[in-house]
Amino acid sequence: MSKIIKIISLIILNPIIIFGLYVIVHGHLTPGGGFQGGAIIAGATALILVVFENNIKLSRGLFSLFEFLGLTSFILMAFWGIVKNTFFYNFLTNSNGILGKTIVFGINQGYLNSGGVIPLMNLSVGIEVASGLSLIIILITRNL
Amino acid sequence: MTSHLIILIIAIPLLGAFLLPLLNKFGKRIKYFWLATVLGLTDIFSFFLYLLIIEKGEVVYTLGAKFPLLVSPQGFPIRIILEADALSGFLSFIFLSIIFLIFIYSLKILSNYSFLDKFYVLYLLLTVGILGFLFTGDFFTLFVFYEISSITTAGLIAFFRSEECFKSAFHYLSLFAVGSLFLLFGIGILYSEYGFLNMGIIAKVLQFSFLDKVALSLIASSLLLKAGVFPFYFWKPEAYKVSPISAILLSIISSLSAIYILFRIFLGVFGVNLIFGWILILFSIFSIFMGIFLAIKENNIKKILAYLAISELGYIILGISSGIVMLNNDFGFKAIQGGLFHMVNDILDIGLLFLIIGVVIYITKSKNVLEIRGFGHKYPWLAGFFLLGVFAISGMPPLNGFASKIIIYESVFHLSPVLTIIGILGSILILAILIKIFAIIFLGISPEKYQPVPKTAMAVIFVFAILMISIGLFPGQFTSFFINPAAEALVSQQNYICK
Repeated sequence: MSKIIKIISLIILNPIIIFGLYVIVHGHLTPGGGFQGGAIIAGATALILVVFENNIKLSRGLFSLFEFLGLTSFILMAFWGIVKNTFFYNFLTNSNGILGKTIVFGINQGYLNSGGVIPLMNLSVGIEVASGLSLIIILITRNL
Repeated sequence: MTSHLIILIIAIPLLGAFLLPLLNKFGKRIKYFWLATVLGLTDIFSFFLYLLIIEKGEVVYTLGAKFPLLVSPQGFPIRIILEADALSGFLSFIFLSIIFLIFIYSLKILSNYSFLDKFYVLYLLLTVGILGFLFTGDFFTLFVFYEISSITTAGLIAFFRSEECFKSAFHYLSLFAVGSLFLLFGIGILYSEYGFLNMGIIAKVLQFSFLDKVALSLIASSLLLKAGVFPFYFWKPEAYKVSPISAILLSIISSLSAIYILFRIFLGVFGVNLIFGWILILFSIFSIFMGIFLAIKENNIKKILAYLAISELGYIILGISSGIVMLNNDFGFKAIQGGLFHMVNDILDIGLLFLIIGVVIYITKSKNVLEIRGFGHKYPWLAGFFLLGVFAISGMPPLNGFASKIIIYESVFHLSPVLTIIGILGSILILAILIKIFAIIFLGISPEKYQPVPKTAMAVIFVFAILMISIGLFPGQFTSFFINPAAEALVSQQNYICK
């Protein structure tokens, strides 16, 4: 690809990743969530692979590691619920600590500091989907 | 701790699957130890769950909160609900034991292939899918586990990574993409009509309108596709032809769990419906005959056994569905008992045959097993066990196949003698086909010399044979401990649904 495309895509890369992170982090407040945000971030990987063709080597091991971390943190959070109450118990909500703001019933502007483990689970799903879809794209383009 | 047993049975294999890529870095021994721990632990837990159910009755588990605040007008919590009664507890114990045995069997048989770490991740995830089928209490969870088991089975089919495997796996995947959409459509109809996904609530408010019948047919067709019986049997030989033996056995188990959930929904949610029962009887007869007649002309051993597996599933559906049709008299209950008993015997019998064929393929490394001659002279034990499996699957008296098939024959006779005649004829034809295969592979003179049988595989085959003989010799004890509570749980739906 030409130099113009390379530089413009590098400029665009940051907004794509930040938008993906925005969708993941606001998963409990707005439409979207872990999967959707992760798919957007994987779009950034696809952009890099298309633009830089054979000149770039993306490490598969790193993506595998992140995929593993996302999955494991998700299932461990669910398991920690067993200790407190039941599987998938939301042990952070309404605790008035981190992610535990008590919300009065009714209309509000949407507090990021709420939702308990749901934002954390969104984050781990986001990491898992972003790295998993990136791995799929890398494997497909390698054989082209 | 005991209240969490049911979720631990599902969650521990899930955790095991997710941690496996990390443990793979530490070497083979730790990986296999971890796998054995995970599978063995879930097996022990399922046995304790069964004891708990026998003692205290049905177990209900709501995810997320012990005492949920949001409750429907009918008194059901609006949550993901898992339910286990004597039937699902019994099936989970049997299936997990066999999954554990298959894992031990595949230790040596598959050790020469690459991508084993991924194979075992898929293996554990398919186990999760099967257990989800058994324990689900609402329709949407059923859909999720349907997807899980479909995708993982496709991955297992492609294990040998030849072009044929990929083709077959893709074929399977596209078929089950359609099948899961059917299931989702049926669930969607029920949800739009009543606004609930929980099986218990739907069973209470169901009016059995025309739309409900459409939903039932959609759900039933997708589950029959998963089971692989008569109208949707075509994927089975294609998939089994290329996949490894352990994956075939897991796939048979997932077929059995699909039959379980089919009858659970049919009896539990929709109630006794004679027309639908007769349709299932018709399908079962067709699958008995289709399986046998297609097996006669086939010349690939895995395909022949796949067709025979279809006809064995036909016997199970024949037993349970004719039991449902004549549920008003005593023979109905007996027929359901026979069908459930045959679920266990089916996986043992056809499983033993598949395991022995797997050993033959491993030792000879031949593409076409039916070209081998005189295998029995070098390996008399294998020949003996194969003959045992042949006799058991065709229902010879001292073995387990007889114990369940005689119950099915005798009780179905009171619905229509034709069904019994068809069943016996099917068994005779199965015997004829398998005796031919036995004569081809094991009899005659062999010029070649092969390596010894792997010890782990031989041990698993031995355990299978012991189980078959002991169930055949003491069917009464087995029935009174496992089958009777299970059949009662399937028939008395009020206890399952209205808790």
